[in-house]
Amino acid sequence: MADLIRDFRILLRVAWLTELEHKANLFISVIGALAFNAGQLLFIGVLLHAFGSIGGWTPAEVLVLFGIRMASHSVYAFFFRRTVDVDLVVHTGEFDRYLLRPTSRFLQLLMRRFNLQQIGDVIIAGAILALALPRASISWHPLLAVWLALAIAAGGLLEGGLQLARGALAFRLRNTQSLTFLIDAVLGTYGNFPLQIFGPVGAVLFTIPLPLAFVAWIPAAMVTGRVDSLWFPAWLGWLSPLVGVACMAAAITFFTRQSRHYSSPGS
Amino acid sequence: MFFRANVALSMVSVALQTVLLVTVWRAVYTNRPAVAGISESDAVSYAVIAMLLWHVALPWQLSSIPERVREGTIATDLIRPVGVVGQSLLQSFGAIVGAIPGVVVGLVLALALGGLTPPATGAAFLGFLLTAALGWLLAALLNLAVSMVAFWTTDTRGPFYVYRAIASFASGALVPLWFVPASLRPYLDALPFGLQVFAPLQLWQGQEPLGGLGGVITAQLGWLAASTAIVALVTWRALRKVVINGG
Repeated sequence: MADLIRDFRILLRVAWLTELEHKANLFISVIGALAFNAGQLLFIGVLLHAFGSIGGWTPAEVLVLFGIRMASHSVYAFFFRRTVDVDLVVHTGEFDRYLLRPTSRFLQLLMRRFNLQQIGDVIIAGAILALALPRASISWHPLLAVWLALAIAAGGLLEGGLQLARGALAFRLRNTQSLTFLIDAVLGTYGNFPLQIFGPVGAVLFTIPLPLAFVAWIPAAMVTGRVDSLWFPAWLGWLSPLVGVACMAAAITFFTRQSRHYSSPGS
Repeated sequence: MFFRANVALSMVSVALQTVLLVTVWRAVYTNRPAVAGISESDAVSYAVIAMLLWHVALPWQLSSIPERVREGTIATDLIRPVGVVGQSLLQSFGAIVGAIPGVVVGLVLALALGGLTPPATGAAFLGFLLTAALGWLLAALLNLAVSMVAFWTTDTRGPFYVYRAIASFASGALVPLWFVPASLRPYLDALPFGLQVFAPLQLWQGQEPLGGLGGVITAQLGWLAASTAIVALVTWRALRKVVINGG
């Protein structure tokens, strides 16, 4: 474990220095990330402007949900975004190098590049939460704040786990780009809605087979006290961060197993 | 069809997005017969067709140029008898063929869910087809112009994200422009993106777009001329800048 942490630190430092080498590029990338997230904010903003509320949730409650989703996405983007590169790593034969180096293949994938542009995501997420949390009627307690931080981190693990499991399929299917965009689109667009709007069946589907609910809907319902929107007993909601951790652990195992099917392109 | 799995996944992706779009728009319309003068059925139908138009007009890969510059294979493209612009546009056209299965799945599913309203009239449908085709060409040229930033920078994520965010919102692909605050509309109308999705769909629904059918086509032709000039200028500059990677 100590070796793994040391390797992580070394790879992180290299990736960080690489990004900082091209400062103008970094600046443009951060602006790009800001613009992308601002687009999603505009989408929700226009809907709230036209419709006033969504699924019975007030604009402040919807914005809390959006802020949590964005913050989870920032955690994912900061640490796990390179999971989208598995196709490329397999096609170009970059994975050959991972097999030769004496450290975790998964770690090498994550650190092949450090995504400083996601500072843009962090800025937007922080701004939205700072704006929305005081406006929603929340009974704050130190433990609730800690739980919210854990839930956000677990949301990032969940998104990372889904993309990693998808990436693992590239060892057999070669190209899984469409699935990458599908996960991005579903989480980025529909993850911003209180999921009870999809009806009882939809809410169950987005909780069990497609675990979208754990990213933002359940955490937002628990924090804002809108547990009446959930389809299961509210106490279960407090355990929701465990799903993100379990998803990432399962995805790492799946990735490791699928990587045995890697066939080098020979380049 | 080398990447069959990807085509299949793309169809699944469009199918899922169709179901979600229909559900979301019906949900936000609960207990509201009309919002901003638009009925639920029109909003649902708009959302589905807009998603399908955008699926074709703004693919994740704006053009093949960034990848070919990065790999150095742009050198081969430069010596071919058809110019780089022509090759890239033809590839974009070919990508439409690859997107057809997804579009068909989306349309069939939307029909099955009762989420498609037919065009207002035959003439409205013809107007839609004509303006949607011109809108696609306009999108392809703008995608190409933006993708040429790859000649100046290896990392194209930033400019692409900015372009994608502005184009998606301003085209009306994310949310119909009827619902956008009135103060924003003049700025969005001044951009070419609304001509790619919103204006054709207004025609489909029998609405009068800004300037009528003639006004939309004139604006599209004007933007096509401007985009062609931009692409020509960027190409001219880019080919003096090109670095062939890989020795």
